[in-house]
Amino acid sequence: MSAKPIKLVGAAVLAVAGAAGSFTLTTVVMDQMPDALLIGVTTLLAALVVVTIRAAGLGRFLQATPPRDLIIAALGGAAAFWVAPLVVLSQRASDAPSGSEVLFFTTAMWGPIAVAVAVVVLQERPAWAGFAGAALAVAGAAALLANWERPSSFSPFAKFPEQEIVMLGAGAVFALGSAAILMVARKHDNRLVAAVAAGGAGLLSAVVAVFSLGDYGQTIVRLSTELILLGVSQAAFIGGWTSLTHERGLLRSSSVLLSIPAVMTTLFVVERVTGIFGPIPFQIPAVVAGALVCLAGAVSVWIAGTGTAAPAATSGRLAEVAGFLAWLGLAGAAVALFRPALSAAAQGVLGDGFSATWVMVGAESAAGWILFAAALALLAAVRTRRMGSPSATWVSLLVAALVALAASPMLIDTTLHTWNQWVPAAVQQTYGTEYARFSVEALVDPVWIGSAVLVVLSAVLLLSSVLIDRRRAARPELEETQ
Amino acid sequence: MRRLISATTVLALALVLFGGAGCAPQVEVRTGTKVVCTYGEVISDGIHTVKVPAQDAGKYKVRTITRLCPRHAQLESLYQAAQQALAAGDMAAAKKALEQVVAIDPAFAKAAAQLDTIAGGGKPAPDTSSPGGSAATTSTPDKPGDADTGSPAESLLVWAPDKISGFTASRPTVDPLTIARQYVPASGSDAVSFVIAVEQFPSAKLANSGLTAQVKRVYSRDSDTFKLNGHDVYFGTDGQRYGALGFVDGAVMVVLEMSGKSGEPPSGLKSALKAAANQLP
Repeated sequence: MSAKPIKLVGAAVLAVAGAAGSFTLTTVVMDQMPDALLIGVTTLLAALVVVTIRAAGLGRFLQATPPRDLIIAALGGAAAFWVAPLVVLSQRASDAPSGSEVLFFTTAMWGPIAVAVAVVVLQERPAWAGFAGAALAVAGAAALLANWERPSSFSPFAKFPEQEIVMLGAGAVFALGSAAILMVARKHDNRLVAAVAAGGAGLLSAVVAVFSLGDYGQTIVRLSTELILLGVSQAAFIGGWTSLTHERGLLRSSSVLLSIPAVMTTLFVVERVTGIFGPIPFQIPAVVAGALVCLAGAVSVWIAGTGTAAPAATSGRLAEVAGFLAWLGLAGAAVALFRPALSAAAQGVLGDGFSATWVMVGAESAAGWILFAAALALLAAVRTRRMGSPSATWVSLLVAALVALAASPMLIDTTLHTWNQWVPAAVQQTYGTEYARFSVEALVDPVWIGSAVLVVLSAVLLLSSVLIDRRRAARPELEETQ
Repeated sequence: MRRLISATTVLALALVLFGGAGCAPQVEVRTGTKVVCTYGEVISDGIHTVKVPAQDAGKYKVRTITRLCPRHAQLESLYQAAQQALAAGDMAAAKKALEQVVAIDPAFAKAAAQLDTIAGGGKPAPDTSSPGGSAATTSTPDKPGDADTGSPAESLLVWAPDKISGFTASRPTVDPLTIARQYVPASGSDAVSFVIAVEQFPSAKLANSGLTAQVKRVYSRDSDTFKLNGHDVYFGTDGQRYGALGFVDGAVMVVLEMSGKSGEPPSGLKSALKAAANQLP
């Protein structure tokens, strides 16, 4: 944990850039050859890059390290860097699930899974801060991805639920593989453990790829530039991710996964502004709001538990009331998830026309989940402060919750799924054209508003209790006289 | 173990809530059949709203049947006869047929104009265009945006006329509050496809919101605003192939969408769209 900040930031940037590059390049070449061959070739290339860079001392390390540790690292690498991407790719067709859904289920949603594995398997703490920050980041990511376009193709668990659940399973494989590598890295030289992990992934992927080669030799040659770039992207991710998990632990490193949708969106905005690949009809204010929530949650996970532990809070009654209000806010937000939040309408004019209006509940809206996650974050802030966690932990959670609440009005009419099983497919496929339309309008829910007010009140009381504690600490004689 | 259970519970809750989002609520669907005259008048409207379980919603359809109503069929026939008589030089027969047309529909502008010419001793040229070109304008109110929303389709049709220079009109797709009409470009045109979509909103404010959401945000490139026929008109493209021009008249939003040839910048469609919009009221 003693790495310099610049090194940590460098590893984080490498991991994010590697993941973003891998996602983009995989989308470019995925339909051109069998999944096992594509992932096999690129994982082998990535392994070659990592092993080459970290070759110094590798021979001695292999001889001196217990075989059990080497096998765990190699299998962990194979799971995280070969099996997980292969499973994901096996669930993707050219445009189904949509790019926004795949990005969501293979980056942001892997964040809480990594946090869960870090808490359960590696016993990393603080669990509350990790889960709350991850929840906020996931809610923000969903909100921003649902605003990449309108009508949005982002409809998690609506059109391709099986594929998306399998992608979550791949996330568990990735997190468990990362945990295995980390456990070995904590006992040995991390750089060389990472090389063994990459080597394990490369070796197994190469063996399987040979059986998928068939007559795709020419295709590999034709796509050599893309495949090399993809291999380098994967190598960057492996290098950055293994360094980061070693220095910051798996829980805090999951912030990298959580932030990828926001980072990729930023790249797309740059692309839109420069007009390199043409426009994407982003809903800019909503996307910015979603990205802020996503990044605020990711930052709180990145910071969680770092710094010097503080003495437990003493301003008893005020902090208790803050905690009580936060619980009430969370309960209200949970209730709001089941209450009417949006009025939706779908209309199609092709063939036999279709026209329907219905009500969507809070669980189908971005604002519903953002309020829930904000209340959770505030509750985590109250709890972590009471338990004497470093101030950066609860301050970042408090700030993230307030950022989320401030951003939620921009996301009040964002639905988390446009696709419905029961609306005729012919209508849904022509949404956004002159033949069909889908629209949503926010409904006023007093429970949502009341819960948001409770969360804000809780935040105010938490800050007040901090000020009182500081005043008491500065004037201990007052304590004695009272 | 306790933490494992907590983590699993949180994940399960998220899955249930996210997954439950697809669960079927009660849905209000519109169903029934509406018969609309080719010229936009609603002949009969049997469409009503029912509340049904969502999984059954797909069974309910809104059928719109377009057919020529007897009144317009008679007008077409009489007007056609008048034009044939004019072509044959039979002024008396032409005058008689035109008088019958105007008696049935005093707002039939072309027939009235031909009658005036005959009454003044002149010999009007026969109208060789489709009779719809005249008849469609017979029953449109002066200000479409202020039209009675009880049967707005006929009032909206004025924004998607039968004739736009350089294009051949298809039959409009008519709905109570919207009309969409495709136009086939003449050979040599810059346009590959051309559609006029007209939508009636409850208020001018909502129509302006609709223009922002459906036109300004979607066609945000090469944007320009200018005055045309007294309207504040917005022009924009998607930066690839499509260009659109939109404006609001009262509570009505009118959108002209055009696609150009592949590889050509859509900003070049601006003049064609302006020319088309210039032929609207």
